[in-house]
Order: sequence, then structure tokens, then C-alpha cells
Amino acid sequence: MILNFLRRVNVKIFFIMLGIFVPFFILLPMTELAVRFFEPASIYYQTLIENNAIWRSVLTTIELILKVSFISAFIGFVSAYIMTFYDIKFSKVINILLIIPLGIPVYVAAYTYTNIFHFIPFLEIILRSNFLMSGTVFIYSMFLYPYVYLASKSYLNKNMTEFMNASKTLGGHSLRTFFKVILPISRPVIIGSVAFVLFETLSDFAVVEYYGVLTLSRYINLAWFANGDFVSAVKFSVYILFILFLLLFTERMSRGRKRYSDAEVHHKPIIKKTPTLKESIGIYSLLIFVIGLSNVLPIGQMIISAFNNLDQVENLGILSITFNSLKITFISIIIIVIFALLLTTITIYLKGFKKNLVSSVSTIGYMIPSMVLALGLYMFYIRFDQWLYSVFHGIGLNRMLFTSTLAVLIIGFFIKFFAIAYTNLLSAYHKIGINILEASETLGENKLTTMFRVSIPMLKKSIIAVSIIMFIDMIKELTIVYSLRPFNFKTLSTEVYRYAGNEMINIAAFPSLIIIVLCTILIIYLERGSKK
Amino acid sequence: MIKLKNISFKYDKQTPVLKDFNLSIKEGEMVAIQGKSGLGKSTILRLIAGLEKVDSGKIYLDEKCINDLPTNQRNVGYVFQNHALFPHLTIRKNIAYGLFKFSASKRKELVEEVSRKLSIQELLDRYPHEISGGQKQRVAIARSLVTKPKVLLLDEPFTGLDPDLKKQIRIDIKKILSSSNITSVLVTHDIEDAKALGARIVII
Repeated sequence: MILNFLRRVNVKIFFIMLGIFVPFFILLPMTELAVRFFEPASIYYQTLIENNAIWRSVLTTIELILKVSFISAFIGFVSAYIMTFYDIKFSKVINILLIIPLGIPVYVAAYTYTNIFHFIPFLEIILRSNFLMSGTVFIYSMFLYPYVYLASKSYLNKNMTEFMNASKTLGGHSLRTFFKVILPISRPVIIGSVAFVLFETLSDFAVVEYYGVLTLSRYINLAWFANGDFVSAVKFSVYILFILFLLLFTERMSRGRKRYSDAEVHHKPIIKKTPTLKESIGIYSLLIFVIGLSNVLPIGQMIISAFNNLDQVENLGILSITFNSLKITFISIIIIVIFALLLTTITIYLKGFKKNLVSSVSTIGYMIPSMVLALGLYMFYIRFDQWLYSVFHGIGLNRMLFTSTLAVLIIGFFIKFFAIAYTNLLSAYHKIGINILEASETLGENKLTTMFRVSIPMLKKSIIAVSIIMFIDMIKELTIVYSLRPFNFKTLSTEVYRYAGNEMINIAAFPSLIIIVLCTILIIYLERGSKK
Repeated sequence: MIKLKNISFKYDKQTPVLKDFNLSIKEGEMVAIQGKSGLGKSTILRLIAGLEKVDSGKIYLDEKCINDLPTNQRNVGYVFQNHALFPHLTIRKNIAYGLFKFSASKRKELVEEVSRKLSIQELLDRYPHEISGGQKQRVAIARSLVTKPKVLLLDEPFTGLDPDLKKQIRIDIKKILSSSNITSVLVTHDIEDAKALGARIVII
């Protein structure tokens, strides 16, 4: 019945409207930042300028992202290299343990380490050193490196053997092959995944707040929530976007005419090497160090804290906050998947400039730090509500239809995480190939009914996978939820932040553990599924 | 001289690709291994280069058993089927890749010399994606020859070339190999390739 109705729909007009609407909807809140950036500066902002505080904050932000990039790239890439090219014992378990930090929110890690420092004081001296910027660099690197690990492992598996063999036949030993061939050829994947680490680093405000590091994200947070000064917050947001753009642009320019892959070269499966005794000592030391600090210590500490404070669970209203987290997560996932399916169905038929435009704009949300995105959305919907009220107040319209409602929070999730669903589904669509869709059209179906009858059944596994990836990201997300939630709307992440921020880290352990357990189960499911 | 004695090899636990295979190649000789796909032609080259380890049997290079010698110490040139030119390096740096034991000036001299010989001087500052398939073939041979290997292994050097280019590359390779007087083993599924090069043909 639905299909019969859809067969009569004018698909062309529907798709054109959707192809314009979704990118426009994603971009709109950002226009607010561009407009407000040029408004006169507040006294607060001028004071910061006079004290050189902004300049120092820009430098601190650059220092933080450079250090986090380098350390997370090192840990992620070296671990991926070991797991790809060496035949090591318990590799399946080690692989999962190396990915689990993705399920540990960075702010939870930061709070947990405060407790760990009580038991292991020398760790505090090292990790809270000036070089590690009071611990922030350590937390971001140690809990975000899995982005680099996962991307590098998949890339090394598929793109390296013939180049490595060529290097060997030309006399290159292992180290030379690593530094002259493997590392430079992997540059795009390392940079691409480090960019994700940076998006996450710049999205967070809780860790820098906790450790007292004055980055630009922290200043947005201070201007917005402590001073109610939107214009200053907008100016800081634009600086962050500018730094991000400058870094990525410089990197892209420095590549010049170079390329990093050759589609004509078909790489053979990797034959893993058994490590020598010396290599084994190095490999296992590194893996134990990484897994110990990013898994065993924080999770162990959280389990102990949670069980020592079981009597506090009642006060937390754990069921209600878990339900709230799941509610916004599931609603957002359903909406995103529906729109991502529709938009990928359009994109697959587009070519050239139109395709690039739709793809770029639709995925821009993930690149915008959460605090910046939240600010843009908040200001845009205040303005939108004011406009709606001025036009429709005669018919009894509420003054705040969107602002501080679940709707804006879900829109925030939509813009931030749409890129995950869109890029993954588009890549799955390309694997199916356009011919099979065209076959359906030659048999009388239109693009919309083809989507229901051919694409969705074929993309079922990808849809489940992207839903899980989005779930992991959404359940952890603090910045968007904290900034855009309705009054008194509590979720797992906001409660962790609230209790830990009030020096009640032990109570925060329980909701933290729920987030981690949910994410870990899904990560294991996803990783095992990807192997099959 | 290369000698393969009673070589057996299998990938994983599958049926053997090679069983008690023997081959002897004299110094300066050109041998073409011809046969259908899946019979282990390329595997023979990979075993000589040390990219795979034999299950049993011995491989000799100049009377010396090289079974346990790692690839990078065998001094064997290998021209891969799809060239495997490093995409991030210019042609000049690709050719100079194996010359790391030489001084910078000597490296430069050797690269110039081999590129003159193969008529690729004008390509030296380009990247692999900026040259044609035929040019890639010459560069891949130059990169292998410049290290003065004891033996040159060519894996299906004529695959994917159009008939005119194939004819030209056959002439080029024949000329290069005879002028270098190098022992060479090439793998092909087309007997015409082997005949055109005037190589001794081994059918498997």
C-alpha cells in the first residue's frame, strides 16, 4: 500500500527538495556565527584582549592540538602496525582492548584519573607535568588514539604489501621500509584520523575545565555560561574554526603533487611475522603500557568506586537518566538514518560539483567542534523563535517553541552525527553499485521504491553498523547535551559532569560505568561483525 | 647461477602450488617461465626473492644456499606485475631508493646513468601518477637494475598493455637485458612473449 502510494509520488521534485533542504538545514545555524562575529566586542572580550589572554589561549589551543595529534598518532599508528604485521598471542583480545577507550568518554577518564593519582602518586607527577599540560594531553591522547588505530589498521591491511616487498627487494631493512615507505604512504590516513581526534579534542570543554587549561573551547564555555556573553563566545568559536581550517589547509598544501596510493597495484594478503625475543619485549611492553593506562586502570578504578557507593544509586535516579539518554539517542538515530538513506539515494546519482557540494555540506557538522555547533544552534533558534512569536503570537503560539526543548537537542545531534551515517551509507551504496539500482528502475520502480525494495534490504548490515557507531558517540556526548538540553533534563553524561564537577567523583562512577558498559558491548559486537 | 632444487611450497594448508620443482639457470641467461594462471609461476619468483619461504628444497644463488637469507640481503631485482612504484616519491627518488649505501653524489651519478640507458631522463622529477604505463615499466626496470642485482626477476611484465605498446616493451626489455648481460627470469602466460625475447622457455 505504501509502495503503491510512493510509486505515484513525483520522485524528482521530492529528491530535489530534499537535496537542497538537508544541506541547507545543516548549514543554517552556522550562518548565525558568521553574522554575529562582526558585532561589537563586549567589555569582557576587550578585557581579555588587553590582558593578552586571548592570544595566550590561541597558543595554548595550538600547543594542545599539536601535542595530542603527535602522541595519539604515535600510539594509534604503532599499535596498528604491530597488530597488522606481527603474529602475536591473544591478538583478538588485545585488538578489542585497544579499541575500548573509544567507549570511555574523555571527561570520565579525566575524573577517574584523579582517584588513580591518590593510589599511584608518581603517576601524577609524570602525567600532570607541564609538557602534558596538567594531564589534558595525556587524557585526550590516551582515550582518542583508537580513531588512528582503527583507520590505520584497516589501511595497512589493504594497501601496503607490494610496496613493502618492493622495498625489501631493493635492500631496505625493516626500519628503512617503515620510515621511507609505510609511514609516508600512510600519511593521508594518519592525518584523516588525527583530524577526528582533533574534532573531539576541540569539542570537549569538561576536561580542560577540570584541569584548568584555558583553551578557546574553555573560553567559549566561560563566555556563554558564566557571562551570558554570546558575541565573545562567537568570536572564540570563529577562532577555533580558523585554526582548524588553517591546520588542515596547510597539511593539504604541503602534499603538493604527491600521491599516496596507486589503484593499479593489487596488494597481496599480509603474512604476519613472528616477533623475535627483542621485538616481543618491545611490543608487549608498549601494548601493556597503552592498555593498562587506557583500560585497566580507569575501568578498574570506576568499578571499585561504583561498588563502594552502591547506596548512592537511589539518589541518582539512574533509571530515569538512563532512559533520557536512550530516548534522545534512539530518536536521533532513527531520524538521521531515514534522512541519510534518502540523501545518499540522491547523491549516488549526482556527479561532479553537485555531488561534492551536497557531500561536503552534509558532512560539515562533524568537523565543527560541539561547543561551536551548540552555540550556533542556540542563537539561531532563539532568533527563529522570536520571529515565529512575532508572526504567530496572535494564535497563541508559545514564546519558545524550539529553544531549550528536546527538538533543538535532537537537531544538534542530527547536524553533528549526520556525517557518520551519510558517509558510511554512501560508501556502502557505492559497493552495491549503481547498476543494480538501475536494473530495478528498468523493471518499473522509481528511485524511492527502489530504495525500499532494493537498497534498504542490501544495506541492512551497514544501517545497523552506523546506528551502533552513532549510539556510541551520542551516549557519550556531553557538550551538545549540556548546552542545548531543556531545563532540568538529566542524562548519564550530564550527571557524570555534575557530580564529578562537584567533587563527588565516586558517585559519578556509576553512570560512567553504564556508558562504558553499553559502549564496550557495542564495540565488541561491531568489531566481531566487521571481521565476519 | 641460480639453482632451485626439489622445491615444494604451499600457501596455508592448501594443496601444494609447487612440488619437487627443479630449475637451473646459467649466469647471463634469460629464462621465461610460461604456464596458465594458478600454476605457481609468480610463486617461483617470490621464492627466489625471499618474499615466500620454501616448505622444502633449496635455492642456490652463485652456489650459495639462500633459503635463510632475508629478501633485503639477497641482491635480487624484482619488477612487480603492477610496478609497485612508491606513489609518494618522484621517479628520481624511486630509482635511488635502493642506493642508500652510496654517497649522494654517487647516487646521483648512478640514477643519471641508468635513466640515460632506459631513456627516462625527462621523467625523473615527475611522480608515478604523472607517467604512462609503458614509462612506469621502464622506471620499474631502472629501479631494479640500478642496484646491480645478481638476478632480475620480472613478473608478467606485459600484462595489461595494448598490442602496440606490448610490442615496443618486448623490444625494449630484450635490448636492456642483453646490454646489461644480467641473469633474468621472467614469468608470462603468453608463449609469444617468451619467443620474442629469445629466452629459454620453461613450461610448468
